[in-house]
Amino acid sequence: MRVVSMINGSLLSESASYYALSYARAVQLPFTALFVDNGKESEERVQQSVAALQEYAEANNVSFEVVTLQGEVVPQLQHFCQLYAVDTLFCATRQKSSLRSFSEQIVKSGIETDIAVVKVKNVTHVRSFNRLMLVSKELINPHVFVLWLGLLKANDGVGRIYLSSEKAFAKATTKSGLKYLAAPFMQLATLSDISADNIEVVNALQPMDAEALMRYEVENNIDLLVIRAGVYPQKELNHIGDHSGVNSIIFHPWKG
Amino acid sequence: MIFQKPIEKVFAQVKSSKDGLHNGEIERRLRDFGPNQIAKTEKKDYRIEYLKEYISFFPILLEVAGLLALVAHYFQPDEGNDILAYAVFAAVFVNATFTFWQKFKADKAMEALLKLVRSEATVLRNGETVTIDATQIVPGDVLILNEGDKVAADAILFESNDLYLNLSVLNGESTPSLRSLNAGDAKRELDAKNMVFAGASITNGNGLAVVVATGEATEFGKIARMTAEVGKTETPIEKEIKHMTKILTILALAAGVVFFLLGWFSDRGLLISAIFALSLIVANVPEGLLPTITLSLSLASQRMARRQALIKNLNSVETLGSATVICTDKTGTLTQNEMTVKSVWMANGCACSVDGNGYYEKGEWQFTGEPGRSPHESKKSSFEPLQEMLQLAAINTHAQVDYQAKNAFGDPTEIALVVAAEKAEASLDGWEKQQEYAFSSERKMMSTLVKPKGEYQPVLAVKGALEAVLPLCTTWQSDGEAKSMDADKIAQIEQQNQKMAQQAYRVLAIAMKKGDGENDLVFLGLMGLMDPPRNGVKEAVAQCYSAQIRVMMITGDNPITAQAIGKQIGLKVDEVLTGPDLDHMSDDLLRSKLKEEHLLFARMASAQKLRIAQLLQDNGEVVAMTGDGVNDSPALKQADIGIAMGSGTDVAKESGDMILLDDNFRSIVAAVEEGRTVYFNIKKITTYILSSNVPEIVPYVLSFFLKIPMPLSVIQILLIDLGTDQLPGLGLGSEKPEKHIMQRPPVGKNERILDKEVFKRGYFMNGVFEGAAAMFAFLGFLFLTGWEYGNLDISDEYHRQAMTMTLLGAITCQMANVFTLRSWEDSLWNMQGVNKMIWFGVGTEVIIVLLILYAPPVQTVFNTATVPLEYLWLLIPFPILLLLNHEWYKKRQREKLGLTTA
Repeated sequence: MRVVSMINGSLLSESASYYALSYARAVQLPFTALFVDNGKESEERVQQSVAALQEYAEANNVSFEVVTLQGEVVPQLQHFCQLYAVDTLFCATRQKSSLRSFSEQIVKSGIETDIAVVKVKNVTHVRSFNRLMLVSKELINPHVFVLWLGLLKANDGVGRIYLSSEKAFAKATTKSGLKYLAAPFMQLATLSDISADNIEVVNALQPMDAEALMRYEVENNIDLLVIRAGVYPQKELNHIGDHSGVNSIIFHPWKG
Repeated sequence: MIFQKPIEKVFAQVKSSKDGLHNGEIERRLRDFGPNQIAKTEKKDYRIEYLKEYISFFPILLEVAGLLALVAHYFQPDEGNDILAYAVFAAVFVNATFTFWQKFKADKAMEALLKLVRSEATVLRNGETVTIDATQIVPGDVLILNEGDKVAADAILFESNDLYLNLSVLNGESTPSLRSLNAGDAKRELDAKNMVFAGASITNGNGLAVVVATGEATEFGKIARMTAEVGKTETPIEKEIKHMTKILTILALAAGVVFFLLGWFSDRGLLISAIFALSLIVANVPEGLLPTITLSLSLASQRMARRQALIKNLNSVETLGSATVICTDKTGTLTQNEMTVKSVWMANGCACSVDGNGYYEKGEWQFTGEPGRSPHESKKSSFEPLQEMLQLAAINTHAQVDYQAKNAFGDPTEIALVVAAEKAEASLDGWEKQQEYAFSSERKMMSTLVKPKGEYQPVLAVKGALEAVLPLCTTWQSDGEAKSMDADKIAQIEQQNQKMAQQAYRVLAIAMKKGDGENDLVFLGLMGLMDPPRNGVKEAVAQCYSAQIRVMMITGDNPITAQAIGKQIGLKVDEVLTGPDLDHMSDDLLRSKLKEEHLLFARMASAQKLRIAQLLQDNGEVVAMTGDGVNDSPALKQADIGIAMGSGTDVAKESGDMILLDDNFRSIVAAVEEGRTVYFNIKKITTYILSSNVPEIVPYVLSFFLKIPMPLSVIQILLIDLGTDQLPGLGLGSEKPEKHIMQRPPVGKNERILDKEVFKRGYFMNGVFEGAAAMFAFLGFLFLTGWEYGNLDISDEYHRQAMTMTLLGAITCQMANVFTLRSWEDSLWNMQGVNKMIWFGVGTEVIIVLLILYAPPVQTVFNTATVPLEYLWLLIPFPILLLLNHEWYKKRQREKLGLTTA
């Protein structure tokens, strides 16, 4: 298995790749910088990105390799993911969400791997980030949890798990009920040598809308949001990504 | 954290260099990271906006009417109902397109106006200095920072020359903070000394910095996100339009249903009754009302822009007319925001004052004498020591004043000291600064070691608060010699300090020492500074009182200064409350004080403005609130009218409904006047449009009860509503303020545009004359041409001629109506100026009249025919009667309200 991050020589893709490197370090998987050369990108800038990422990988003892493919991005990527076992594919996305963006095409192409779409708003927070928030429904997907936990562990950060539970709200479930749902994941975090003091479960019975979530992240000085796709409708997710001042990763699990 | 890293690493991380970014990369980053702006509003999809014009209530009503006509045509194909249906659909199309076009134009005009407040930034790109729109800045850009600049994005400094940053927009701390190339022991960005932040301003020095965060990712953007929680309520005009739509629709439907039932029960047949009801509905729906109101608001907003008040939301224009309380800042709005030295007291007891306000004017020094000396003798003996004192005060600053370019940089207090020295011709040329002991809020003083021209020994110039400086003084200056400081002298100095403070001066103590070290200082004297009121503010405040609007000053300054300024501008003050007072006051108590009292708020934090706005609104007041900082944003949103200063932060401008380009209180009052004008103009338009409904309805009703031919067709009704009424209606919307507009009380929160008065004048006064005119013309023509009552079997041409007379009866009355409605209370003969749009509208009406009388293709479409000239006299009496009657009514209204406008 490997952690793959797509690069194209831009500051955006390079910045997003630092998250992939942090995750690879935490889960001790090799890192692959994947460049699909469709003739539109400057090779010189790609080489600069590779050099910077390699330097960071070596400093953090992450096994590093570069793969360059020729041709159209999506078919090449599908082919690559069929040939190699990919744990998570990281790709950056632009400030303004667009249905025609590469990240959107990749997500819709049905590639057989987890996809982490990274929206970088603040390039200074990609190498050092401390406060990470995982936004999920009441049942946490283990893949997104591992990504969040890995990033948390790689940075000795402080984590919050926010459970958005409409079901719980409708049934007037108590907050302790939600904590029960999160408990195994808290225990997993403890087993991973993360102090229980560094993790908190936030569970409001009334789900936060996109605006409220963005205010919450500012009020709590969050550096990175990890959101499981499906927690919010696509329009709301785009709104959060486009208008939040905080970097975010929208996680699309391959299964479930 | 990135700010702790060497600058090379920072450049590597943002993939940039000291020469800045290159063109291809800039475009890419702009796409990747978005423009450098916050609180963006979603861009309108004008296709959807246009479609919306077909699904609001009036159009739906007409669309249903059109469909009914088509159904009628299906059952009775020869009745011409298909033409009626197409005419109604055409009316919907014309109206929707016109309304949309007005809104589109208004949006575009607004966008153009808002461009006036956009900020620019200077950056290095491709190794060259360029000035760009601040929204185009991307991570990796190199900012060139100079004194007076507002920082456009969060950036890390790699060159800094004595650079001071005012961070008050972010942390409320007004004392500028010295920047360096080291982050210090900061744990977070905001504490990093090597960073500059979006929204902050450079008060001194210059530097270069590489951008690391833009837009919402900046610290400024995060604060803006937190202020986004206060929602905006519906404006009165929005409520009013809903109300009007509701009432007029109910009226139209009720009339339709009543006459449908009457027709049905009197055996006229289901279909004829339905068509009849439909005609009444069409006649009652004032199709042209909404686009006319939109245009009226748009014109008002453009007039306001010319008066330095930029309205962001058209619907807010009218709210201004309802303002009952204006909560205003002091500095920059009521005052000039130009600190000026007004008074100097020297340690030997000599006092003097200097005139001239602001930074650039010359001033004359007046000596008031000292014990044992006349003013003249005082000036002779003390002018040189005064010059020395002013020299030392001015050299101990970072301010720079360019008198020719009329430009000043730095702290306003320091600028005032430099200008005062200039007024006394105290030259600073050749003085060399050697060391500086910076100002801090703890020390409350600042010193600079300087070497005067031609001297070897340096001198320490000291300035600061008296309580900080006086304890360090062991001597005081008296006619060239230093005398030792004793208890009596200290008491005298302190007494003088208190006296000047009570006169609302900001007092600075000036001291010196030959050599270095902030001890054993020689006390030189005290300087009294003041930010003088703006010209014209006193008159504007008086105008507010005559318009029954309360004015409350809310300032961070001390109560004495605030009161003194209040007194100078004629502000009524029943009680002065400070920020700490408010903290200990319950909502109930404060609410009761806010009810009627004229309050002045001093030492206030921005956050307390929100509470004041909310409590005033609880009392039923319509609140206009000014603000400029990020922290003012919630209060600006809460207020009925948030007024942001043109010189304020982008967040304040985003939150406000109105932006004052010149920061001047006078412009607020001008905007209130425009707001009231808009309110009355919309009343006039509504009355005008309702008036023409009567001659549209009356013929139908009479034809139902009397045995007469149908006097008016539906298509002719549409010609009035969407043809002849439109341009004169727009003319009413562009009327200028009436003379007494600021003598009347504010428009009440519960007052409706569509009130009893509008109904009375529209339907029951002018409308009655119009209805009578239409029927007089119709029946008059029929009887004069030999028609006998009850004969419904008349030729088509003859019927068309008679209907043309009805149509002309209504149109000619509307011509008279538009002139008399130019003012709501003033006499037509006293109206000032010519309303070109009304004349243009009436001219167009005349052309339409000629076309329907003499152009066969137009006659075919509108069922009209040429009428012999000898019958046109029938159109003359009623417009004259309408005009005379309304003028007489307005005269009675003036007498009733006690308005003196003649």
